[in-house]
Amino acid sequence: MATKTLQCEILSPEGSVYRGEATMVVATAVDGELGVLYNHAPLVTALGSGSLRTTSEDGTVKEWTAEGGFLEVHKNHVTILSDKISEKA
Amino acid sequence: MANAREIEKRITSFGKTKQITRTMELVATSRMKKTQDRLFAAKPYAEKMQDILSSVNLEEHSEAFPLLQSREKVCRSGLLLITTNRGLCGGFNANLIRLARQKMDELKAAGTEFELHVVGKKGSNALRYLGYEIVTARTDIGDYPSYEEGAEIAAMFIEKFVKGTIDELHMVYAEFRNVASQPAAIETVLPLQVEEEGGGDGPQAEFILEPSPAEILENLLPRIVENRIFKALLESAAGEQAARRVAMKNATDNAEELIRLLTRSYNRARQAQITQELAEIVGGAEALA
Repeated sequence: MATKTLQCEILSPEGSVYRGEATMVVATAVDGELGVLYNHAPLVTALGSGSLRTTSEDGTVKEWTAEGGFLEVHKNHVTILSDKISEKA
Repeated sequence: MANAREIEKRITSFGKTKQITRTMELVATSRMKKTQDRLFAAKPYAEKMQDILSSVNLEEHSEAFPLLQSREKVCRSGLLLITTNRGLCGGFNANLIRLARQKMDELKAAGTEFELHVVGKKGSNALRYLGYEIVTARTDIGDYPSYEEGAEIAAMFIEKFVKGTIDELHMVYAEFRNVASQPAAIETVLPLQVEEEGGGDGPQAEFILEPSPAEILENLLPRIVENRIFKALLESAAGEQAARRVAMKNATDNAEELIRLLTRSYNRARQAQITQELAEIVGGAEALA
């Protein structure tokens, strides 16, 4: 249990976009960027337009662009809901 | 008794029809699989949406959001009917249209004005023929409806509802229960009705709501309306394919049965013809002798 990772899932109305583990998730909320680390308190927030990044244990960063949506943190599960989300090239 | 050649022609023609219905059955099966997959893929999003909604204390805020408020007096009601663009799917569209007409009769009896919006050629053609006035008809939604299409429809109704052009919105669509059952269903979309959590899944964690519960609701409620309509489009699309598969399977079976019967009468006619020819030859030979 040494690893402290978040279960991260990105959902769009047409299906799951991404599912994986991450040590950190950074999203653009309506009022600015927001970072989530291990043991974050339960949180629900509305997302604005901007980037969404997940950093995995080995340091690789994945990035998406989302336009609106929601982010929920609950028991180290991060769920992102967005109807307009695409992977950044 | 028809002659052998005529029967043979009919057998060939039934055989060709059978080939077509059989192909349509197979096409519908593969499309059904695909539409069903999309229906399942859409589930996690919808469920999570509901979770988030239940984390906000709705009662506190329902005043501020018109989408949640029931109007005291319903003067004008909206009705959205989702049908298919193509036929050959048994009673699928007929059932939907019947339910929609029933609802319209009800509204009429209650003295409520209503406006009718239809998705799909089948529904709009049938209702236009019956003399109903259709406000918008969308026939551009294909076998695989996209979320954007659902969102567009939702945006139109949200605007009408907020402005007060309509006081409620009912939606008639095919509920995809399983491959064998897609009954027509009616649902009230606006004002949004939120199922009360029975408190079954234990105490809800206290969520921090950022930036504020009100702001989350403001974003969330329209998404929920969009999602309901999108889901109805998906369910109807999957139902259409399932209904078509069954209809085409029946048609194929019928063709097979007809071919079987016709083959029997063909053999009989052919046998009769041979017997007759033989008798003629024998008769001819006897006359010569």
